[in-house]
Amino acid sequence: MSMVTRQQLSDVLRSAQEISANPSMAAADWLAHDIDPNRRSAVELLTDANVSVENLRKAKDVYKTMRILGESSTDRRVAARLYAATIGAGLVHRGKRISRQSDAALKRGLEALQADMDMPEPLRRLAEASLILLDGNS
Amino acid sequence: MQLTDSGASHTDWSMIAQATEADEQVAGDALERLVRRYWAAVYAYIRRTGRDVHEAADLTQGFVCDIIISRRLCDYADPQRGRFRTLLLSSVKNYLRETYRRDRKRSLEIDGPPLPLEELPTETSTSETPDEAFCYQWSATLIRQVLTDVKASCEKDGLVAHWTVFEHRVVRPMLFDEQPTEHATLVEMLNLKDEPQAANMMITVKRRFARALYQEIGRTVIDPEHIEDELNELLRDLERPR
Repeated sequence: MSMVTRQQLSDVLRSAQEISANPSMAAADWLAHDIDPNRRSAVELLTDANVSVENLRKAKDVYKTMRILGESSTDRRVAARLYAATIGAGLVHRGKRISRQSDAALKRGLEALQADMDMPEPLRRLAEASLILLDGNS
Repeated sequence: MQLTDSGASHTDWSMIAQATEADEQVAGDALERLVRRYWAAVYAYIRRTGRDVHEAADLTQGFVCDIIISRRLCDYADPQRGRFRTLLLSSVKNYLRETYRRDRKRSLEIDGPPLPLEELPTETSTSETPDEAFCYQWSATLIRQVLTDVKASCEKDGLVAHWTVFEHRVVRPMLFDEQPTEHATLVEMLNLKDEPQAANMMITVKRRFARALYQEIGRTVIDPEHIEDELNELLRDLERPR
């Protein structure tokens, strides 16, 4: 590791610190960063008005898997919220429905996200905007 | 998760305590472990004071023999008075001042724990201060140790594929500037179900890494409550504007 920079060492230590402080959200953020290395968090990825449908589909799939395979119940809850958020982001940013879920199931997921005070505020607002769109379409 | 390969206690403070024991075998083993853990940081510090590779290696060896062993540095280490690496760093500084005054070459024939010189860093930055070099090298040693432990624990727990994903998606890109291997390639190479599975496997090992890092730092502090402070101190040192 002789060529490793101080910044790289710092990044490694910081990433461990982040995952230790909030394991579930940090894991979700890492999955978002893994999809788009220019985004540092799930919030950044899902609230970006220019996010591509392809990346939203990828996010939906990784959070769907995390919802099942998550190590803790918090992991699985956070993943379920983000799964709903990715579908909401498709509706709000791209005008596209990236899920085959029924309106009722989708609304339940978005309402749960909107009501979850542990989730970041921008994602809860995204859920609110998605619900308005869904109601407008129904 | 078992991260050490023997039943011996590996906290730094317990190693230091063992190094002061009357039993020569116990003390010798503990000293050797301590030297293996800290020599690279000591070497980096000395190198940045302007010594060339060979002189820095000789001085590192001399410091180990004269200060750590002969003058029994560990006898003066007290967890209540601060970090061991702070004591080590101030001892190195005093040692260099002493050797400068004496201005004589050290003999290489002194017995002492062997230094793993084959692992010598090939280069040090020309712009960093000796203190920064010490901190940099200590952080690198810490991360290298944690990565080695996590890899071993993954192998032991049947998570070789998890480690491989982590290595190709996180370690190599973060530390070696390599492009992350595509998920699709990893899925094919490791015979995984799909790309989301690969991404979640990465998270599993990343968490192991974080836990192991905290555990490793925990070995250097007297109270687990000081781990976060120690980590923040390392980050401050690494991120200090230069």
